[in-house]
Amino acid sequence: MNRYIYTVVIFIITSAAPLVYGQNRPGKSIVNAPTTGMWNGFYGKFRLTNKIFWDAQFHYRRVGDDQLDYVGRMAQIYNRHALSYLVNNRFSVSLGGVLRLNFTPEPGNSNFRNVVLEPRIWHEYLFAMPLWNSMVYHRVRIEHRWSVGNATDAEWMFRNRWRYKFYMNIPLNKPRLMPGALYFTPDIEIIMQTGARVIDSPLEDFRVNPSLGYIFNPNVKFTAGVMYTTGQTLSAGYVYTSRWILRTNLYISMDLRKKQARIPSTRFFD
Amino acid sequence: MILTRPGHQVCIILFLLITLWTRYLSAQSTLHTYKGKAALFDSVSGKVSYQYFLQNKDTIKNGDYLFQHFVEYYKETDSIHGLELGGKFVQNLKHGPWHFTSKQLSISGNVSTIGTKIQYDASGKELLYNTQFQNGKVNGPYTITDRHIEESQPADTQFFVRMNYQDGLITGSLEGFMPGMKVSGQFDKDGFPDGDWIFLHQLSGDKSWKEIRFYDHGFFSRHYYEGPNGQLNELKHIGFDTLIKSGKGLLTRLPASTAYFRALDYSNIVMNVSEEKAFAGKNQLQHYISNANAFMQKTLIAPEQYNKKSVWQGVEGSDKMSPIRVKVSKFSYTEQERLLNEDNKRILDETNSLLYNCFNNSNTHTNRYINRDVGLFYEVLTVYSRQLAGVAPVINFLADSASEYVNHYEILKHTPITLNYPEKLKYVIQDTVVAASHPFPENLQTLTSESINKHLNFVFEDVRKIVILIEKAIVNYQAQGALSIKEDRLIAMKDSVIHLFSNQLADKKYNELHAALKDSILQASEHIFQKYAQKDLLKKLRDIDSTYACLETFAAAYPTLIEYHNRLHEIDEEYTRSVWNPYTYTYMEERVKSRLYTVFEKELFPYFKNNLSRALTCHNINQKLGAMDTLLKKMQKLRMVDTKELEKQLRRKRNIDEYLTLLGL
Repeated sequence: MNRYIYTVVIFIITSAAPLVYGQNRPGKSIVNAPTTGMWNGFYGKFRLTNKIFWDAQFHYRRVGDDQLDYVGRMAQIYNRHALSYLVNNRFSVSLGGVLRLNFTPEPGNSNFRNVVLEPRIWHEYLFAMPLWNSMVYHRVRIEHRWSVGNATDAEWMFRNRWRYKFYMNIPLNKPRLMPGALYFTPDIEIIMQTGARVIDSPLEDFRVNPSLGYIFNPNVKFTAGVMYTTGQTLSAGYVYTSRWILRTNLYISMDLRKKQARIPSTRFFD
Repeated sequence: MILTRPGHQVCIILFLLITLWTRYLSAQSTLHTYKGKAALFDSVSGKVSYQYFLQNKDTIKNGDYLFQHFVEYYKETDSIHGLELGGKFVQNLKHGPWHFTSKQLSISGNVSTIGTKIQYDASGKELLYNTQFQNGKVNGPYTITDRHIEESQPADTQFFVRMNYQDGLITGSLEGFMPGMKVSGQFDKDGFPDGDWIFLHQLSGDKSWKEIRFYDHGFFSRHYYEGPNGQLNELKHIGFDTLIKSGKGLLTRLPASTAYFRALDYSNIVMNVSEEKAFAGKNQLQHYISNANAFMQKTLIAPEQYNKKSVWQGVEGSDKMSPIRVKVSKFSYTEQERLLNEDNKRILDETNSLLYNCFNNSNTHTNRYINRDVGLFYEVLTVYSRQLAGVAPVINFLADSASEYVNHYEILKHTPITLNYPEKLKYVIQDTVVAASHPFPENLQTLTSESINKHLNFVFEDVRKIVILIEKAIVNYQAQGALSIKEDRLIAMKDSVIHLFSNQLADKKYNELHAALKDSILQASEHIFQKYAQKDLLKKLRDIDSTYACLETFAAAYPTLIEYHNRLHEIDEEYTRSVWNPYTYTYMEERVKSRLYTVFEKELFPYFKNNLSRALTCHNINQKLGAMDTLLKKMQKLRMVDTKELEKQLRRKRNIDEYLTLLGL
């Protein structure tokens, strides 16, 4: 009997929850006030063999706060590493891990831990294709992340991120992508997320990230741009974030192979 | 007392006689024969055999003497040439019959044997001298025979004469023969031709023509011929003095010589026109007379000579034969006349030599129709040549010593030679007849040594100047012609240099190096050409080839610079490495040995490029291009070697000389 009553009560509660919840859902989406940030990335690709690269990334991210936009306080530090396999000149796959350091959103608040770790496993599938004198890229990245909030009572959650990025490199002052070329990168990325805790916010982030880049030499290039992102908050899918982030990136590649191994294969179809 | 007795005297006389006879007999009994080698005329070697005896160690020829010289010419003409001199000696003196023979025989006919000797018939020529000597002097008949031999038998006689000598002096009658003529004459006791000398010339058929020359003791005083009716018709010789008959006083006695007979030939024969016709003209008559002269020459001039040597003097033992003499009036020249005559002959020969050389120069002929000067002068020289040919016999006559034996003044009076020069000359230039005048000498009307000399000197000088002018005109014309062709090539080459380096041809291979050198090369080319153009003809001829070569050097630099430009690209590629960019997924090129390449690109190559265009001449362009070539080769070489140390040293900025030193340039 008690079991029966308990079950009815639970049924009523759960059935009513949406009503109760539904009675709190707004009629339109809510966009939070835009925040600012600055992301500085270091991308390193080190060629270990003809096909295998060590992908090493380090990101330094700050966000704006009440005192200062873009760089007010520390946000995250990324360490992303992977081994990439160059299937051919147009396709590569990567597999690696990430360890992100998330800094407290409220420095000085004892209710928040200063830094929490966020490990990830990621794998990526990059497709490149030439288009006239430009290059077009389709990047599919899948991440498996374990994250926890900085609040002291925050609990760990597991999510999967499903990312698709489309970007291009369009040389502006040279006939092709070559040392000395200034190029424009139109870049959009959509990041979807799934997981137990993802209820009504599958769109984690939608990024529009145009940038300008410069190729110093085949091993070094630099980009700078402004990114606008928006996405659903985890707690309420109708609430969207809005961020303006300044981004700078330095890309370095090195060939760690022995000199004899560096002799390029004959490229008949260039 | 004993010696006074007649019987004793007889004994003594007998004793002396016997002693002398015994000595004579003993001497006579040692007669030897020598057979061996000897030389005739001191030069003709052969075999000799003679008999001799020794007397007081002297060799006394006594007996037969025979010298023989034979030379076989089997390879050349299959013939034998031989000389033979034979006769008798008595006490080292020629005595008795002597003969000299010269034979040129070839084997002909059948072969036979005599005993164990092989004998062949022979054919050829034989010249035979026969005479008699008495105690070393020619005495008796003297014959000369020149005949052909056919199969060892005498065939045609080309010449025969029989004379008589007495005690070394010719005297008595003479008989002679030459083909077509028989001769008979005589000499007086002094050895001069005397009386009628009859020459019977054989005409066609059985006809003959009798020519008679009368010698008055050596002096040729009359010349007749017998007409068809037996009448004697005189032949007058203009210039040959036949008036003096005595043979004494003003006549000159001289040995008969070629000069004497030439004098006879010089004299003009005068006869009636109708009589001339009987001989089909004067030339036919002259022919017969010349035949007669030829016989007389052969007979009277040194009848003992063979090849200018006396046949009897080949071996000692006889006196030299006295020459046969004649008498002639001499018309001596004065010393001045003699010198003028000799000078005239010399000038004539020299002028003719100049004319001959000029006319035999092919360039004269090839240019006379296209070059006005050559055309005109050629005509002038032709006029001179004709005039000189007309007066040459007179000049040769006056210069001949024989002309002193004729009255040359009379002969010249009867010589219808005048030298008249045209007032206008016509010559052809490129199918157009052109008339012009030339300052010829005054016409020569009188022929004297002096007037001829004056005239010849003028002609010689004029011819000499003209020949020089012709040569110069030909050389200039040819030079100009050759130069024109070469100058066309030179201008074409200059234009080619301009077109190339100005890129007027819009050549795709025209590059920065050409552009860098353009101004220098064009300036240098123009300068060279102007320098050449300002020169005179001879210097142009001398320098055109070198000027052309200079411009050619500039033109040749064009493809060299194309090659260098290509090599620059090669070096650029060699110093470029293709690297895979893992971010852009493209291959990118990066510079290898970048410091070295940067020094090359920014410092060294510009330095050498500037050096190319600085103070550029055709003499140093190859050297400058060579320096550029060395730089490019160096860069290509350094690509393949370890240049770590070098690149370390290139870290800091240096001056160009240091860079050159570091790279070993």
